[in-house]
Amino acid sequence: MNSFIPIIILMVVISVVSSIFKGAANGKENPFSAFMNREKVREYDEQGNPVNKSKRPSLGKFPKKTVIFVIIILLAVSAVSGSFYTLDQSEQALIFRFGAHRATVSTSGLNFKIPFIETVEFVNTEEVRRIEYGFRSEFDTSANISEFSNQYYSDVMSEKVMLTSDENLVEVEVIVQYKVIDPEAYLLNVNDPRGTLELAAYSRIRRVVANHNLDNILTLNKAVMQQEMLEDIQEIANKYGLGVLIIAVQLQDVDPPSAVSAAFTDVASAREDKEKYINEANQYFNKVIPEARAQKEMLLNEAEAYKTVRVNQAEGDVSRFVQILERYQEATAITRTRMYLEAMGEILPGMDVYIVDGDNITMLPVKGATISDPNAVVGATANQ
Amino acid sequence: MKKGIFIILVIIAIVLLGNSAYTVDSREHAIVTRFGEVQKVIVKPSNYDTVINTISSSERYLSVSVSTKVGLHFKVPFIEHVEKFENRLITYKTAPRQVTTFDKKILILSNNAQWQIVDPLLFRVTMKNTNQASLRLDDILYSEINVQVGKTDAHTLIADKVYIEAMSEQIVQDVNKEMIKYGIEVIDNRILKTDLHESNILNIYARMEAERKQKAQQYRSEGEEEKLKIISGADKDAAIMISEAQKEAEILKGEGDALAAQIYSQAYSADPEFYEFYRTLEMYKSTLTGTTMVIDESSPLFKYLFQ
Repeated sequence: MNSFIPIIILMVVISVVSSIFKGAANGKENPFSAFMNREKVREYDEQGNPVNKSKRPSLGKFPKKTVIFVIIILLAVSAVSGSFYTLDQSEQALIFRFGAHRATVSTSGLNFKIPFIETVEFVNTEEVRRIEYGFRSEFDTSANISEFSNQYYSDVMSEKVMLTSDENLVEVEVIVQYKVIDPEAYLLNVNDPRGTLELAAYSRIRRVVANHNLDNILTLNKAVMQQEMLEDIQEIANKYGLGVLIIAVQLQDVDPPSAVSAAFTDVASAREDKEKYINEANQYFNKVIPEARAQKEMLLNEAEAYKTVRVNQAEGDVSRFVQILERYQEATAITRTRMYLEAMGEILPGMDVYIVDGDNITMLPVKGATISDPNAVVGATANQ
Repeated sequence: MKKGIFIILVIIAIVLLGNSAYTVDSREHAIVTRFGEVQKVIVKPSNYDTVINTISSSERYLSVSVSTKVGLHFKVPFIEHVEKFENRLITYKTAPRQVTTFDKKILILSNNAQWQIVDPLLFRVTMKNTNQASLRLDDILYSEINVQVGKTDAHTLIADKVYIEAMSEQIVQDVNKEMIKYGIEVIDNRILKTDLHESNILNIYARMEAERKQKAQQYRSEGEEEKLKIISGADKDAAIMISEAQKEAEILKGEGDALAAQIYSQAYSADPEFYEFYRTLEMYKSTLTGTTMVIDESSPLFKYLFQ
């Protein structure tokens, strides 16, 4: 049924046009020439006879056939050009006939549609699209920001600053990458798919951040959070029937608020300080313990040496004594006297010896007494 | 002249046809009214039953016909009018609004909702257009949110994801009880943004800074603590090691002395008198040098000197 209506309309249009065309060919039957004839009737010559001359000779000079022919050619051209559309490899096309979605075309290349009646909307299903939250990247073609690109970033503070679960603030920048996988759902289910997805992403990003505490956000949990955001956004997209696939959620800069960043930096350096202190202590440890070990070895060695020396000495002494004792036992008195005298002989040279006579104080300096010692000299003189 | 009339008739026919034919997009509901009275509803297939229910609920709608067919349609020209409504999800976003939580804290919430015209007939009769619908939705949503937020602590509202999901669900249900009268269904409601009041933000910064300073101090003190632990531990270990070594050394020396004493006493006990004599002489040798001695001339040492 549906396909008959456009054909009927097309036929009506063609029959109207061709009737005009025929009229032009027959001259008198042409509806336009009828108008012309009425104008002509009002003109008379000197004799009062109607003059068979056009009021607008310029129009009359144009062959009406040609004018209509040109119109038809134009119509035909626009009809032909309206019957074809090209579909890129990356795209799919939704065909609407009188607004009713009829089909979705995915064969790329030159495709046919009914002109005037069918409209086409294209959706790129390969392109990875991106949503930025917390910042916007922009291209500035007039200025060269860097050698390689003229892309620059601007922060969006109203998006960037978020509350964490421990009621701190954190600055987060996120990129969401997605792809349209179901072009019908994308166009037919939601009136502003892009805007809807953006809002869904924004609310999920903030919700996930609010679900973690600041320390986790800043350090450990980035991968976990990314996964959580991705799943949450996909869930909402499915709920709304957006027909998109969330490919990735990437946390970009995640920083403490700039107002307190100095304090955060100080914590980092405090952590370094802690390490430094521990290293210093370890350095001390590594110095003291080996030293103590060395001293221990030294003390033990000394003691070992002492012990051995003592024993050896004792054994040496004893062996000498035993040998002397043997001789002594053989000739007790002689040996004894000899030993005594030998000892005296050894000792006396190193001593100052005074010999006294009974109770007299006369002294004889045997050796080493000097003249300057008055007692010694006087004693000696008095004795003689 | 006959031809002229024919042409005029054709033109009139075209005009009538043009005013009679209309198209309905797959993304639209359409309502055909005759002098303001609804004649026909063209609705999305999934909402067909809803409209049928509405029609059967009231005698006013007895003459209304329902169709799910989109595309080309015809109506009575000039007498009947067509109005079209979005049948897809419509995004609705509130301006940030101040709310007071159960624990009397002030938060600023932004919400977004997704809604849909599920009954174009009711919608046409009660709302006229989407702007008016947004206003009404705003009123109802805001009051429902206030009800729920008033039962909730600020911390829960900020951090408790599970609770918030359930709360949003509840808000959607409550809002829908009201909105269904207007042919609208809210599909989803989310808190887009939870912000603190301007004055609280400075407090938070101050608190964060204090917390960080505390943390920094903690790290440094922990560092000092570790350092002292390690250093004193090292000192302790060293002292123990050395004293043990000293102890062992004394033991060794004692053993040496004992062994020596044993050796000596074994040997010397053979003749203690000789030992005494022998040792005394040895002792003289080592101690008397450099001293002064006064000897009586009767000493046996000089018995040959003073004959």
